[in-house]
Amino acid sequence: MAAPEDLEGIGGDHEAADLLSLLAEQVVDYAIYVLDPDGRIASWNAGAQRIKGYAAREVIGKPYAIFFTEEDRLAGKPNRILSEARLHGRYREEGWRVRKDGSRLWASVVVTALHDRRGLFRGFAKITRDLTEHRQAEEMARLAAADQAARRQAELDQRETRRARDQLNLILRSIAEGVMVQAKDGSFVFANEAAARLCEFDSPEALLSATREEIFSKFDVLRDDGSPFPLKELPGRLALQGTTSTAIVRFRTRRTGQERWSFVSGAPVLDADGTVALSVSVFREFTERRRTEQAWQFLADASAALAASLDFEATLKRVAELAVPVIADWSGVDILAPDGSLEQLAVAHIDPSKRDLAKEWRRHWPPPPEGMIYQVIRSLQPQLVPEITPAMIEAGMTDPEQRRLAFDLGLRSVMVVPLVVGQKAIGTLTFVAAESGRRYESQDLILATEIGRRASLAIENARAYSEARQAILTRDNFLAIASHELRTPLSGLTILISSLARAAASGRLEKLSTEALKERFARAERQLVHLRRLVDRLLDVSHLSTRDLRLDLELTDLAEIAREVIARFEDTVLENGGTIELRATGATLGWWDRSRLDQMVTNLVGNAVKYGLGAPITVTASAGASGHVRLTVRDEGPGIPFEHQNRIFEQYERATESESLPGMGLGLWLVRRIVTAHGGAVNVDSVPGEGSTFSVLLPVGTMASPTETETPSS
Amino acid sequence: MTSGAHSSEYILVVEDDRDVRETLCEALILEGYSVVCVENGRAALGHLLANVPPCIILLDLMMPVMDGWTFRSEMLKFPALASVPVVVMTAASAARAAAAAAKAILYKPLDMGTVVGTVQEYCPHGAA
Repeated sequence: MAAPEDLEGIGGDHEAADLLSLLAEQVVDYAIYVLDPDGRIASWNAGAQRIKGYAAREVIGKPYAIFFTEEDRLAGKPNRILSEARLHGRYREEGWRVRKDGSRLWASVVVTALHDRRGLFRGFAKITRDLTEHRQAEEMARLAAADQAARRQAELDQRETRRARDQLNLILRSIAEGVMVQAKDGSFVFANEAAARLCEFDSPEALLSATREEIFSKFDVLRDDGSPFPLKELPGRLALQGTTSTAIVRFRTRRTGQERWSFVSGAPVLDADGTVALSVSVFREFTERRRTEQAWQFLADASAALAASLDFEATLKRVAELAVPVIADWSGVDILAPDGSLEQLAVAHIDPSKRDLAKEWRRHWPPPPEGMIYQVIRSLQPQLVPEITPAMIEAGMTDPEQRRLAFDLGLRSVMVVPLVVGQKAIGTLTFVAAESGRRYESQDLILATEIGRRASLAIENARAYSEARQAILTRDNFLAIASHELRTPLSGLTILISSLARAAASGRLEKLSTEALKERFARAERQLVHLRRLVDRLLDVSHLSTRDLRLDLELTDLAEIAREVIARFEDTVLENGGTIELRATGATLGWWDRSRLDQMVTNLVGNAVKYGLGAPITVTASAGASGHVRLTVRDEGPGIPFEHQNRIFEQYERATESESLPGMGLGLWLVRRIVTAHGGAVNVDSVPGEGSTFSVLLPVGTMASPTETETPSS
Repeated sequence: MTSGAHSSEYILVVEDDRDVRETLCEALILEGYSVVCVENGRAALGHLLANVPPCIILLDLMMPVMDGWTFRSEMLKFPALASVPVVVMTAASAARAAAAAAKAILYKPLDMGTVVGTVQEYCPHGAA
C-alpha cells in the first residue's frame, strides 16, 4: 500500500480519481468492491479475488448475499446490513463469511452508502479484511489458555488424589487388621502387611503375585470347631454377591500345623450404578486370646481330672493327654522309682503313631543324670528351653541316631516342671513343641508349673487318702481281733456270774461247798487278770503305734528270762504231748529292758506253743560274735508260707490264714519293735510244713544307751 | 471230763480255753445237767466214737489241733453222729458260724440264761 505522502502532489481531481481506481483494483489485502443500490456486485478488485476466491466475471452482477453463510442468509442478514448502512451511512462488523470453495473466513467488514455530489444514492462501497488467521490465532490462544488452566487443575487434582491414595495405602498397610480386596473375578487386588503375614507371605506384593490356588494351598481354612470352612462361604466371597457378613475363621498352616484365629468380615464395594465392583475383607486376629482361653480350659479340665480320681497314675496319664494339642505336641509324665531311675508313666503325642516312637526313644536313651529332667528333680525348679537349637542337639546327644531322630521329629521348644510331694520331687511333667512350630515363653511355663503344682497336690491328696484308708482298715481289723480276744475271758466271767445268779435265785446255791465257791472266785480272778493283761497289751500297742518305745535298761540275762517264760508255758506244752527245751551257752548278759525282753520272748515262745503244739520246741540263748547275744525259738508247726514271711512283723498281720487260732496279729510286730528299740534285729527262717525258727540278735549295749531311735511308722 | 448228776442224757462241751470250758461245765452241772468237756475237735470226735451220743454238742469254733468247722465235717462222715444237734458258741461273725451247719449260734460272751434256754430244747430230761 502506498504511503499517503506518495499521493501528495498528484494533481487534478481526475488524475486522483484514476489513481484511486487503480488502488482499489490492485490492493490485495482488502477486498474493495461496490454494490449497486440493490446489493448486486458492481466492481471487484484483486484483494476481493484473493480473499473470496471468485474471479470478477464470476461475481459481477451477482447479489453480494453469496458471501454469507446459509444461516445468515436465511436470517436476512445481507439486506439488514445494507439497510443499516443506508440508514446510518455506514455499517461495520466482524463475522463469518463464505469463500467460493465453501470454507469460512472471519471477516472485518465496512459497508458505506455511496452518494454522488448531488446527494443521489448510488450504491454501497464494501471493504472487507480477512481476519481468519488472526481470529484462529486468538482462538488458539484462548483454547491454549483454557487448556493450560484445565491441565493445571487436573494436575492439582491428581496430586491431591495421589496424596489421598498414598495416605489411605499407608493406613491400610500399617493397621493391625489384615485387609484384602478382591475383584469381581475373585482375584486379589490389594492386601496389606497383616493380610500377607496371615497368609504366610513375606510381603503384600508376594501375596498379590500368587494365584488363588497358591494362596489357599498354604493353609486349611476351618471353622472355630475345627470343621472345614467352605471357601465360597468366606465373608470376602459372600461380599462379591453383595452380602455383608462376619465369621470366625481358623487358619491352620499346613507346613507347621500352627493355628491362627481371626474374625473375618466381608463387605461389598458398589459402583456408581449400584453393582458390586470389589469386596473388602478385614481380618482381626485373636489367636493369643484363643490360646489363653484354651490354656485356661486345659487348666480347668486337668484340674477336674485331677480332682475326679484318687488313682493318680491314671490321672497323670489323663493330664498328659489333655495337654495335647492345647499346649504341647508331645507331653510326658516321668515318675522317680525308689532306685532313682525314671519310669515313664505316660506319653501323649498329637500323632498317635509317634507315641510309640517316644516310648522307643526313652528305652534307647534314658534321660542322662545331667539332663534337664534330673536337673528339675534335683532343683525342684521348672525349666524352659524356648528354642532347641541344632547346636544344643549336637552337644546334648552323643548317639548320631538319636541326633538324627531329634532333627526328624523337629523338636523346637521344651518345658519340664517338677511334681513335688512333701518337698521332694517324685517326678516330672514334660511338654514339647515340635510340629506346631510354637515356642514356649515364660507365660507358658507359668501355666505348666501351675499344672505341675495341681498334679502334685492331687497326688498328695491321693496318697493321704490311701494312707488314711489303710489306717482305718488296720484299725478296723485290730478292733475286730481285739473284740474277739476280749470276748473269751468275758465269756467265762459272764457264765460264772450268771450261773451263780441263777443258782441263788433257784435255791441251788446251797448245794455248792465253800471249796467249790472259792474255786469259782479264783477262776473269776484269773479271768479278770487275763482281761486286764489283754487291755494293757492293747493300750501298749496303741501307745507304741503313735509313740516311741521307752526303755528301762538294766543288766539282764536273756537265758534267765527265757527260762522263766518257758516255765510259764511248760504245763500247756506237756498237756498237749509236746516238749520244750532251753539250750543256753556262754554269757547271755546285756543292758536291756527286762520287762520288754520278757514280753518279746513270751510272744515268740507263745507263738511256737500256739502253732507247734504237740511237737518239740527248742529255745537257744547264746553269746554271739562282737558283743551280741542270740536267741532262737524253733517250732515244728506248719511253718509260714514264703509269701507271708516278709510281712508277719507288720501290725495286725498273722502268720497263718487259719481261723482256728486266735491272735491279734500284734505279737511279732511288738517283738520287732522291742528288738529294734534295743538296736537288734529279728528274722524268721521257715519252710512250710517243716516249722519255723525265729532269730533275735541283740547288742549287749551299755548302761547309758537308751537306743530307741525307731519311729512308729517304720 | 466232768460228769453231772443223773440219767444217760448228757451235754458235750468242746472249748479250748480252759477257764471258759471249766466255768461253763460247772455252771451246767449246777443247772442239773450231765456234762462231758473236751478241749478240741479231735478229742470230741474221739469221745463220740467211743460213747453214746449226747443230747447236744456245744461247740467252740476257733480251736487248735482240730477246729470247729473241721470237727463238723468229720462228724458228718459218721451216719450215727449226723443227727446229733450241734449249737455253736462263737465270737466270730454269723456268716462264718453258719458254715458249721449248727442248729443255733450262741454269741460270746455267753449268758447262762441263754445257754440253758437253748439246751432245754434238746435235753428236756437233763435239768432237775
